[in-house]
Amino acid sequence: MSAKEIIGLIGAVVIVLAFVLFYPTRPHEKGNPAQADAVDWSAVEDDRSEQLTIRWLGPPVYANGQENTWVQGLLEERFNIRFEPVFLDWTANSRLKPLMFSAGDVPDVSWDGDPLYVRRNIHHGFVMELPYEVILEHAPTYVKYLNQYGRETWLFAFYRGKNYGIPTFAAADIYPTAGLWRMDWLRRVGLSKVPETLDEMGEALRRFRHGDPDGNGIKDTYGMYPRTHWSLAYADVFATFGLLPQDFVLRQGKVVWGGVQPDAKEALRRLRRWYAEELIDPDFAIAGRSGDQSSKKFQNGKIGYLYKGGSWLDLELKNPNSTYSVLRQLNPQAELAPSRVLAGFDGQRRDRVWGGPAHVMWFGTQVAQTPQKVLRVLHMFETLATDQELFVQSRMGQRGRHWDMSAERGAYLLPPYDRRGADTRHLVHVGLLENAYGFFSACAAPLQFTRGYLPEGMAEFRDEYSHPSWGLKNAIGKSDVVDSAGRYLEDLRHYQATVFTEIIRGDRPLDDFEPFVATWRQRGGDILVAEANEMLWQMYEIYDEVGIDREGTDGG
Amino acid sequence: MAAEASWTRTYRRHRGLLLLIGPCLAYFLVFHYLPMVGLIIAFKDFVMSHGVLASPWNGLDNFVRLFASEDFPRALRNTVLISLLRLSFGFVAPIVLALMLNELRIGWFKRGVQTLTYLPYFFSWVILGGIFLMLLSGDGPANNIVRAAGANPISFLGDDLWFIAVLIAAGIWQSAGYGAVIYLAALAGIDPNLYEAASIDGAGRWQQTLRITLPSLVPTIIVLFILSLGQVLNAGFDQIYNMYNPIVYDVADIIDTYVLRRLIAMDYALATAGGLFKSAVGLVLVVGANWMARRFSDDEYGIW
Repeated sequence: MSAKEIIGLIGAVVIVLAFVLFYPTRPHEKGNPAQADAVDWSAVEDDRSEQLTIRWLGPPVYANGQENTWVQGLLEERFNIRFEPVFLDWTANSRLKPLMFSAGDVPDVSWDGDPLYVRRNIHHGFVMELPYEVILEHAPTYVKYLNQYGRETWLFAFYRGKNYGIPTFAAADIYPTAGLWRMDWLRRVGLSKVPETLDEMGEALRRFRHGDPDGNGIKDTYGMYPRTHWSLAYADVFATFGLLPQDFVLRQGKVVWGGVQPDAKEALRRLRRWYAEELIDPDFAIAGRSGDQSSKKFQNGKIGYLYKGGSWLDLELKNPNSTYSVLRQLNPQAELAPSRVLAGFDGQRRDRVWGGPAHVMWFGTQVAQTPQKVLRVLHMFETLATDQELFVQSRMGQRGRHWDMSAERGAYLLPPYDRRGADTRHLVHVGLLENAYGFFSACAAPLQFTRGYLPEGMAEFRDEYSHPSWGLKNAIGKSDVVDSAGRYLEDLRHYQATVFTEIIRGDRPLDDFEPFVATWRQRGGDILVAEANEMLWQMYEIYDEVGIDREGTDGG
Repeated sequence: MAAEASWTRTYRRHRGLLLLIGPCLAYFLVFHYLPMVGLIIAFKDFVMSHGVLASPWNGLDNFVRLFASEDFPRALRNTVLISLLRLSFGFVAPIVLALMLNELRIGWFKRGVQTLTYLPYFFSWVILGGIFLMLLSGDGPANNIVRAAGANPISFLGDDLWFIAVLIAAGIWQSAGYGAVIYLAALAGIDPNLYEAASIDGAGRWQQTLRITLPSLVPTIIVLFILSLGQVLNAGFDQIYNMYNPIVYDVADIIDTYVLRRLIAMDYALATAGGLFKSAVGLVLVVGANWMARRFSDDEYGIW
């Protein structure tokens, strides 16, 4: 056989096999895939005596989750459902999940964290439309709390005029997290109180660098180490200017991008000066993917201020893994103090918060064949929003068996469930009580449900250091709700991070800010901002549909 | 008829060998050739639930988008630059290392050095990235040495030129030992009589290296060079992804990191267009280099 014949033969085999493998087994109609699956909801009834089997892909924090846990049994019995849970970790959630879907394995219910992915999954034809009326009719109390705490999440489930899936909220995300200071250092350099403004902060950082706060006679300490994740980088400084560097914010009724506003230059001027005065640990610029070293540097006594390190849990000395405990093990004299959110030049305190909008639970298009499942799941959401005991059990399990509580500690897991990994294996997780990460109850409860389970003093601590009114959030929930996010957002975030870091380090002049803004706008920024403003109006229109007063106050 | 008869005869004679190569062929077919059919999504508006074949065609739209974006041309430039640097320095390193190892006469020492030099190849860049960050940070050991020498600390990973230098050097450190193995095998195949004859003729070690060892290595070097030209648009994703940071995006964002960003945004068609472009360039380079090698060696060298 000649070489040509061999190549021809291989080619023929490849083509034949390819057709066999890739020929779509479920041919879809062209156009909007969801249209083909439109359901007449008025005709759908849920006979609750009929057991339904629901394949359920929850949030990816239970990588080692097990089937048939106590929590699963509880909800199955209560709602007459047979669950088939799908457990993923974060990497599998972003990399493996699309492959699962494209191979035709779309669960009945799926979790998606970011609007970008909800939209991509809708675009790829996996997600079933779910009209607002259906959710409002079957889960009114749930909607009431969603509207109170995470109203922007409605936008995450919205795509080209329709709603897809049930938005969720995270009630505790309304609290800004304070910063953390080395109180012993502050005292040693002659300051008696924790800084509350940018000027006071600058002065403290200056003395941390130049005043030998650890008393070892060597100039080996810095003031701060800017966090590296886009949501945290310089957010403490920018927030005092009423800006978030990598988010959309509202200005005079319009949505704008924080990082390209004129006063962003002032924030950069401040950071640049601090860097020139050596107040900022230069290592922050090279952390990249190998990670944010700020906590490590703080615990090792290299820096004296840690942004977003000051939650109640970080300061808990009884927890051996808290920031305070670790610091104490290395340095028994260390003393920590939380700071209140910094006050801006107008006296208003502001700090970045996610603010309550959370994620989306959506139904696969195949559920259109058994729409009863949608009603059953909505019934479950509604019951979890009205039955406090059931909600708590769905998150933490059974009291006396999985958990118990005391005034001092609040709710805590009992052995063996308190062991690392045992909590997620059994789908019980005290720390997640206020977040949107329950496996089956993927939505937080109103704060009045969870307040009683917090440790003594935590509520007062929040009032003092993390008041919700200080929170500054993205004007449209998350930036990637805009249509062109997939095309421009990530590249522009990279570009901005590079330019900001270079300006702060002095690699570029401060006046490079204006050319940066021009380039940013031209490289897709203008498109993103225009779309974000459309989204804002879209959001108001959705509010009308789901019964939110446009002028109404935020949750909390 | 006669041809067919010889066909079956050949088949029958080599049945055992064909059976042996079967799994290997199946592997390449299933994992390397079949997935190539998926490349057509580079020319489609890919919708997953429609499948690869049923998604609508959109001509060259994805490629237009690719080259119209600000980041892809920059990524292409960085990829080519980093690869050429890697090729210039990294390609010679294993040859030099193999030659030096070849000169070692104490068995245990030679084996020890060889093991130590190829050990780094087996570490993942996720770990190495963290180690390099620690070694090269402002208060890390490297800068302590710089300080002790009386100089100002160097931002090894936060300066475009230094970063590229570290990237290339770390790449060589990680892979030279492994790359040397092939050359060592080729060295072992050189006829010892040649050396004996040369030393009788009065050639020293250096002369022997220049006149016998290196010329004997030329075929291997050419084959490996052609193969590595095909990899020119693979600038070392693992290493860069685990070592880069915002300061050096301008010089370190390569095609693979760009494609990964598109994949994570579930923009598969664009990512495929980027990958296809990369492969096409690689193919042209390999075929071109092979043609050159044959032309200049009178058909003596070359892969095919």
